Amino acid sequence: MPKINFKRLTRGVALLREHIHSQISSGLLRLTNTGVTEDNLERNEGTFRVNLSFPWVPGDDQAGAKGHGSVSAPFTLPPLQEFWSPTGTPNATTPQIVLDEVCVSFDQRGEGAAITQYYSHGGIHTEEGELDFAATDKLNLRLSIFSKEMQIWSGAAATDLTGLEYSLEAPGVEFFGGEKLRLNPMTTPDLEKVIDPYRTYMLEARFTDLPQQTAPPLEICSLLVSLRFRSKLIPRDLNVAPSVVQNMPPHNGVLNTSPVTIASPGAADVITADNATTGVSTVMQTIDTVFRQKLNAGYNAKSLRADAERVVDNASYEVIAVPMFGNRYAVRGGTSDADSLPYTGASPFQGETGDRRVIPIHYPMTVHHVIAAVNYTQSNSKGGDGVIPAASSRPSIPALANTVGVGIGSGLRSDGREYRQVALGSWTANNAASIAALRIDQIGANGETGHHWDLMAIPLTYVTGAASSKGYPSITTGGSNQGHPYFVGQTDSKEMARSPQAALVNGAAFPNFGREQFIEVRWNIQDTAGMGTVASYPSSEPVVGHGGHWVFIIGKKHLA
Amino acid sequence: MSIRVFTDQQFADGTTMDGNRLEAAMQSLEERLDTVPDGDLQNRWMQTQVVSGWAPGTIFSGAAASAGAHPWLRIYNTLSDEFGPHTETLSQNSYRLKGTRVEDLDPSLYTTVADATQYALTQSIQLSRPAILYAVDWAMMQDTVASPEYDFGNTITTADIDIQIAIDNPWSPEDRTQADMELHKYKFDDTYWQFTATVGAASVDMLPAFPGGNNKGISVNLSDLAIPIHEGSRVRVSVTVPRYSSGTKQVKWTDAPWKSFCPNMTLSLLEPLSNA
Repeated sequence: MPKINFKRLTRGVALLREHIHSQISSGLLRLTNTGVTEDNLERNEGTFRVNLSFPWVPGDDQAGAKGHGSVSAPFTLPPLQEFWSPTGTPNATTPQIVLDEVCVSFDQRGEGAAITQYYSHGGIHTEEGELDFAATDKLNLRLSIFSKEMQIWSGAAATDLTGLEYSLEAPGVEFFGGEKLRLNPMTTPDLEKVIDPYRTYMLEARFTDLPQQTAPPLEICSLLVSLRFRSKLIPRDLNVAPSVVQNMPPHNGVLNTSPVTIASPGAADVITADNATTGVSTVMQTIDTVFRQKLNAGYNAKSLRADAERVVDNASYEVIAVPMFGNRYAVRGGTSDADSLPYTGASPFQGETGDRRVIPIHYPMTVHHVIAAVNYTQSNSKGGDGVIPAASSRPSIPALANTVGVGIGSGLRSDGREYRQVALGSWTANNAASIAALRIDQIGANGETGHHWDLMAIPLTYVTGAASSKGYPSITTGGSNQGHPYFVGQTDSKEMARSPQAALVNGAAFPNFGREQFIEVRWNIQDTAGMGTVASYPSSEPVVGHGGHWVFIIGKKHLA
Repeated sequence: MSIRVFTDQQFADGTTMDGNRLEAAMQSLEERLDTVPDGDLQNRWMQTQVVSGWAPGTIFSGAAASAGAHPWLRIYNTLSDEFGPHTETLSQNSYRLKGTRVEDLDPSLYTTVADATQYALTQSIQLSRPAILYAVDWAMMQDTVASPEYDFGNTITTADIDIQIAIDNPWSPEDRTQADMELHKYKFDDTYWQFTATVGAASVDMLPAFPGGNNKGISVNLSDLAIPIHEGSRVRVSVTVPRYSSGTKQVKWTDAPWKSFCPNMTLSLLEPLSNA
């Protein structure tokens, strides 16, 4: 909203109601009726974090040779649906996202030491998890954020990371080996790095010398990289035509205003200070009271709107980064690696494996996009030199099926276990069409060394005929399209009625739910012929890459 | 002196009400409307969630059944748990976590990996701006299918899970005895914190169907904490589980307690609005 620009009261002019009352009225209109917009707020940006939790970074690989001492996670921060460009082109209305800060930490058992890793190859496993005070020189850390053009927008098949957006070198002895002070956790603030919402980014944490010690090898435990971003406040989602929000409570997100007005004197009246209705002091007290009572806005934990909302831009960008299948070496197809995955059964591992995360809902959000990052990175290093992940390829021959679902559920420390589906996508390795209907980008070409990833857009569910058509072209034109934003939040009984939603992508309307307590993310993988079938996986293609997969839930959160 | 928040000017009968004073008051109002101070907002925080968890590796080829504790690490730092030829301990923080003692376990007696002790999972984050710790949710998800991958060995109740959030002392950050305990959940009977007391199929499930069965396990959900975190804090979230060497508690937790459940941890923080 532009500056309010009051009329100036210069010396010598007659004091009119236009000098005082009309201007206070316009101020009250802004504060209590239309609501304050972000450009009239001193602090007008919300912060969000991409929190990447890596439980384990081993120094060696499955065979006891040098690993590569690194993990990675690709991500993208696409515009929310109302700012979506079908050509992937940011414009003046696309909210800017800025990387503000990077924080990194890992567990050293409270000591200036490295941690030893289990090894069965020439050592003894009793040395697992011990403190190695002489090995902090192996904890040299290089933290990098790379970027690349996204295939879905460029139309090209390029898989190389072409941009370096951020880099930090942390010498192990100086940063993590000190007796009185260790920079663990460590934050690098004020980065001011503008993010392109249509590019792919990849964080890599590389402990460059970790693999160089082999007896015992070393490991990094509970690595957490927290990327803090900021983005302008925006209006919250409205379920008022033409906008649609699925699973929305009855208030539909409409600003809960409570207009305050003043009385103005007549045009010929003398303007006085203390008149009970039109006095200067009286009307100033009216607007002063609005400030004194503080400007309210946003949702509380039960998804109820604040009383007498005064701020119209009360929402901001949000990302929940969800790790899946981490804390293990790469699971290579055609080997016995799949015995580390649950539920796969005995060799050749034909059972369906699955991982799930339960994320309690404390404050409401609307989900706009879901992105799955599929990892094909090897645990062993190129030539065993302990630097770069060995060559890998995406499985293409086996009927290896991946299914990713995001749901909301009830029954957490209670009965009444029930779910609703927010997003759902699946693809099969030997079915190119199923991949093309979801995939938005690739990192690393088949047969190359380095980190290998696919990024898949997982479509939001919607009732047939009510797609939003605001999403990556792979799903909106090549796939089954996706739904409008999906509200997720705990509510009281009176807000249990929700706007229409479906259990499937392009499915029938499904009965209301309205009592979600948590978000659940599931990722199932199955090869009915067996993940250990050598003939299906000609070059040890990973079923789950080193460090595991990721699911990113992207949406809008609110002032709390 | 004015009683107004937006101006120092006070207007009342019997005082002058000249253009200079009125203009000053209106300019103050104009400035406040054009750039509303952060302190004028009733709600100026937003949630952020740190999610972690994994499905523990089941027996990996060639590995001992009790191996693969990572990222769980023993809680007592002592010479017998240090690698190298030195003969005197180099550890500064024998106990890096406070108040973790449970019955039948003394981690200070640790000498070999088969000993009874405790293991902790610790994640840390530095917050360069003030924040509010709103919730910590810790779930130990288990299976309900036949031959479960993740489950306790029996159904006895024990009180040996410890959840704590501590902040390093700013003047002595590496001395864990000086850390400030912000939250400590301990000595609670775990069966009172089950994910659900009525384990069963969902009346309406989501897709894909989970191959481990229905929701079961322990879920400790601590919310509405409203714990202020100061600027520059180094926040450490730790969960400790026991490893017994004998008895019914050992049967419950097994030799590899980290494989008896699928961990899910969510740390929910409220962070303030920002600007460029």
